[in-house]
Amino acid sequence: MFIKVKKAQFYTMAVAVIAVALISASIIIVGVRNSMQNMEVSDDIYFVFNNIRGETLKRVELILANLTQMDKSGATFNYLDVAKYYLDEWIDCLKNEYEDRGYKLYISYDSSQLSYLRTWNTTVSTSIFKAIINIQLENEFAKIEQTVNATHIFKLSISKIDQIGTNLIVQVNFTKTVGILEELSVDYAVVYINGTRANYIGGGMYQAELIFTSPGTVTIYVSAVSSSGVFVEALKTL
Amino acid sequence: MLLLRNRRAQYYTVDFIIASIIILGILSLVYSHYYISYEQDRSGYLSNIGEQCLTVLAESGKLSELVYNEKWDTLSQLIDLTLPSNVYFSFYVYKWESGTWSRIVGPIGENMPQNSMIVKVTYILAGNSTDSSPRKIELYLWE
Repeated sequence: MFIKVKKAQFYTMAVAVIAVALISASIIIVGVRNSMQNMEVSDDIYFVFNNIRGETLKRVELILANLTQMDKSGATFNYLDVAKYYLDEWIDCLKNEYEDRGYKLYISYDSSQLSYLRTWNTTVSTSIFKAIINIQLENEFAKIEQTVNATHIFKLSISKIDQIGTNLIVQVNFTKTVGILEELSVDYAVVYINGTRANYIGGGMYQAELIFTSPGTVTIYVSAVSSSGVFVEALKTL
Repeated sequence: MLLLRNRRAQYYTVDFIIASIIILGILSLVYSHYYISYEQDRSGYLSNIGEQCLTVLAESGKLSELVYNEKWDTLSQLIDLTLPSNVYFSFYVYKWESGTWSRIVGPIGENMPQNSMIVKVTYILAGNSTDSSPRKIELYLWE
């Protein structure tokens, strides 16, 4: 009986010791986990893709801005070299960032599809940069691939000229089209009509009141610079 | 003394202890599972908030404007406005030059805690009319 009781006590003690050890270990583990800094990197592939796609479109607008500014200043330049420099720098930057984070990123463009066109001395003038860019982003869970039409068209139209006495009220419309989307108004641009700063009246429309005294032909010259720096100029002779 | 004299009492005691261990074991399993899923939930929640914050600021054009004009206080205030009051943040801004990222500012915001879960959300800007070098914003969030 005595031996049996000893054995039972031993088992009881052993079980109690194990229980206490388990409880202590779990308390320590939870405590340590709570006291550590746990850093996680957000890796939502859709967010990353939207960032790349959206900013690539802005990069193309930046290229058009630089080309039109150089054109405006009368500089001699090769638009393909300029465009390729800006696109290649952007692609290098993106690949460096996202490949370091474990993504597979392919961005490519066909340089034969890049083109810069501008028609500036008409009533409806345009500055255009055409580009088609392929973007493919992949991680271990998903793959997104898209061919982005990054073509940007900035259009400046002398839409209305009203003569009231010796005053001319001139209205111009400044719009932007990206890819195959609808025309969007270019708001809060810097627009000059015959040297007078035009007021923004909403929806991409700008207006200035000019005083003209001398009879004969009147030339309306409009220059517009969007907030991203894209330049367009238009002309109309009355 | 009853335990030492009564064999049935010993069995009951052993039974009680084993049952306690089983219950504690199950409870700790449930707790550890809950703890992990809670962490994953909070990390996903913070990631979503950070992504939404940067997307809203980028699409409005404010992110690019403030970063390229180096208006760090205004950027900090705007981020603060878009985040819930129980979420804290800190951010760094880097510039792409000579094929690498170099830090131009940071950390801006709260001091990062040593014992908390922190989520990092990154956004890259393509340049603007005055500076064509890309910029990278690293936003750190915690509760």
